[in-house]
Amino acid sequence: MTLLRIEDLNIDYVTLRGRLRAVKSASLTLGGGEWLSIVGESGSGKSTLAMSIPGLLLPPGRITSGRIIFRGKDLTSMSGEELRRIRGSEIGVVFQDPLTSLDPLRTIGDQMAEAIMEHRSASSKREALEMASAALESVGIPGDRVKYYPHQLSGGQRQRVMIAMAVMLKPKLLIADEPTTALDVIVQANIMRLLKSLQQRMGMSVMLITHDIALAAEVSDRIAVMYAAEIVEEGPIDQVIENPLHPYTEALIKSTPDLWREKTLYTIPGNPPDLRSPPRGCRFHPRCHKAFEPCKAKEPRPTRLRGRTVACHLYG
Amino acid sequence: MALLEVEDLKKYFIQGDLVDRLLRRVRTVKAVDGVTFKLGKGETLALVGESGSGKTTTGKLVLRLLEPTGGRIVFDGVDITRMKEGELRKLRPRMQMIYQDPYASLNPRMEVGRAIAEPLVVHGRASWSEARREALEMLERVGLTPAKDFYRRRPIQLSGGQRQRVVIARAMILKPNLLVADEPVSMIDVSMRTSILKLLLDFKKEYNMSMIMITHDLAVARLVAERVAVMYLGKIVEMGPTEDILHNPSHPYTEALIAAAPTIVPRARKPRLRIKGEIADPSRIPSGCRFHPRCPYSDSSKCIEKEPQLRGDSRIVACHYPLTR
Repeated sequence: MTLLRIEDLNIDYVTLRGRLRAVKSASLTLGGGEWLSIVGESGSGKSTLAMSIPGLLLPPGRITSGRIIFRGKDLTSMSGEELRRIRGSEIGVVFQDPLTSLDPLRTIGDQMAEAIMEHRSASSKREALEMASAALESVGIPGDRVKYYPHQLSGGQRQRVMIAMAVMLKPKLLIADEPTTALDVIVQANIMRLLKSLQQRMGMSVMLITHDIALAAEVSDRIAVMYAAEIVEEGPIDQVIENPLHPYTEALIKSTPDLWREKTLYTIPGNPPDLRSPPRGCRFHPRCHKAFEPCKAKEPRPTRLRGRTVACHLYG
Repeated sequence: MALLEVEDLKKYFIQGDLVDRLLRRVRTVKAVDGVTFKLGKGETLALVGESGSGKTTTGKLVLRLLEPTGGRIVFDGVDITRMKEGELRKLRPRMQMIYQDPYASLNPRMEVGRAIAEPLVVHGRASWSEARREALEMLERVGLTPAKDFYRRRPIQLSGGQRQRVVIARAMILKPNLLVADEPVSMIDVSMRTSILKLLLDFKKEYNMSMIMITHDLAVARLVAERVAVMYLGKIVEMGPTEDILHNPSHPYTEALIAAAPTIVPRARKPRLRIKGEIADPSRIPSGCRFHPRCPYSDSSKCIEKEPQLRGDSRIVACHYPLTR
C-alpha cells in the first residue's frame, strides 16, 4: 500500500542572483513499512526534496509545481497549521545536528512533554512525562533521564533523544536527514540499528537522506539516487547495488571507500554542475564515460525497466 | 631511518579554576597517556579511534602545537620535546598540519591564492611576487583551474572539497617532511573523499613525505596508510600493518571498529561483534583495561584489575585475551 506519492515535484530557490531549480520533476512512491533512502552528493537536492514533504522548506525555497500525496491528501495544498499538526504525529523528522534542535535551557522531558501536549496525546503533564520516559526507554536511554538537560548527554545520546521525540507519537513516516553524519562510526552503527529495529517494530516507513551509499545499502528496501536536482535512478536496493543501470550510480558505488572490497582509488572525474546553469541534455554527460551524441542535446526521460526507474539515454 | 620517534608521550589537562583547586576538586584529564611509535621516512601511519581517543591531541603534540606533559619527541634525529619556540620556528615549515574543517582553517576575507602564498613569505622563502607564481602553480596542481580565477576567490565561493584542496595546497607549498592530517575528509561527501586522499598520496610520493592520518574511518586509513595504530582513551591498543590488522584484528575494540564500518557489499562477511555505550570520560578512566566496560569478552577480574601492556613485534596489542583466528 502506498503511503506517500510524490508527483512531478519542482522546487525553486529564487534569489537576487537568479532562479535555481533545486529539485526537478521528482516522482517517487513509498509504501507502508518501507525504507527508502535518497542518496546523492551535497547540493544534489536530496535534503530539499525530503524537507518539502513535512513543509519544512526554508525560504527562499518554494514548491513551484507538483503534488505530495500523503495518506490520500495533498500536502502541498495544506496550510501551515495543518502541516504542523501532521508533523510529529504522522510524520517524524530527525536532523543531522541534535544540538540545534534541542533547547539547552530546558530538560529533555519538558521538551518532549510539550510536544506530546501540543498534539493532545496526553491529558496531563504527568501523563505526558510518563510517555516521554517510555519513549526514551524505547531508544535505549534510561527513562529517568527525562530530568537531564541536553548538555548532560553525549552526541549519540542526544541523537537518540531526537529519535525518541520523532517517533513517540507513532508516526507513519520518519524522515531522517543525515542522522549520523556528526557521529563516530560505532555510535553511527548503533543508531542505524536502532532506526532499523524501530521501523520494523512500529511498522513505519522511513526516508533516509544520506551521502553515503554504503550506509543506505545496509538498511534500505529501496534507494533513489539524485544528481544535480534530478532522480536519476530508483529501485530495490539489491538490484541497484549489484547491477546499477545509471552510469552515475555505478560511479558513485565505485568511488565509495569500502573495507570489504578490493582497494581502489577510483574517483568520479570533474565536479557536480552549478545549478544556476546546468549542462544541456543529460546533466551528468560531461562526467560520464558512456556519454554519446544524444546525451549532449536531449534530456533523458525517466524510463521504467524491470521494476526500476532510470533516466539515461542508454535505456531509450 | 625514522623521521619521527615518539616515546611514552603524555598530555594531561587540568580541569578546574582557582576555587576548584582550593577545594581540591580539580580533575586530571588524561588525553594522551603513554603513546609510543616510530614513523619512517615516506611512511604513513593512521591513528584510528573515536572522538576522545586522544588521536588529535597526539597529532598536535608531535608537532609541538601543544606542550607535552611527559615523554619524548624526536624529529629527524633532534629531540624537540622541550625545544624553545624560537628554535621550533625553524623546524615549523618542515612539519605541517591540516584540519577537519577547511572553512575554519581559512581566513574568510583573504583571497585563497594569497592564503596559499603566505607561508612562503612568512618563512622568508620567497618574495610576494615569487610566492604568487608558486601559489598559481600549486592551484593548478590541486586541480583548482583556471588557477588565475581561483587565486582571487574567497573561501565562501568554494565547495567543501575545493576548500580542502586550498588547505592542502597551503600546507604543501612548503614541501614539508611531515604532514599531520586530522580527519581531512570527514566533512566531505563520501564520493569526493578518494580524490582528496589521492592528492595527498601524490604529494607524499613526490616529497617522500611522512604522514600521520588521523581518522575514525578505517576505510580512509586503508586507502592511505601502510600501518594503523588504534587508539582508545589516550593509549594505543593495537598497531600493525594495515591490511593485516583489517583482516586479523587482535583487539576487540579494533574488531568493533571494523564491524561498525558500513559496506556496500551484500552479505559481506563482517565480524558480528557489537559494542554498546560510548567512550568513557578521559577524566574518569576505567580501572584495569580501559576498554573493559564496553568489551563483550571481558568476563574476568583480570581485565578489571590489571592494565594490559602492549606486546608483540611488528604487530602489537594490549589485551589480556587477544582474538585469535
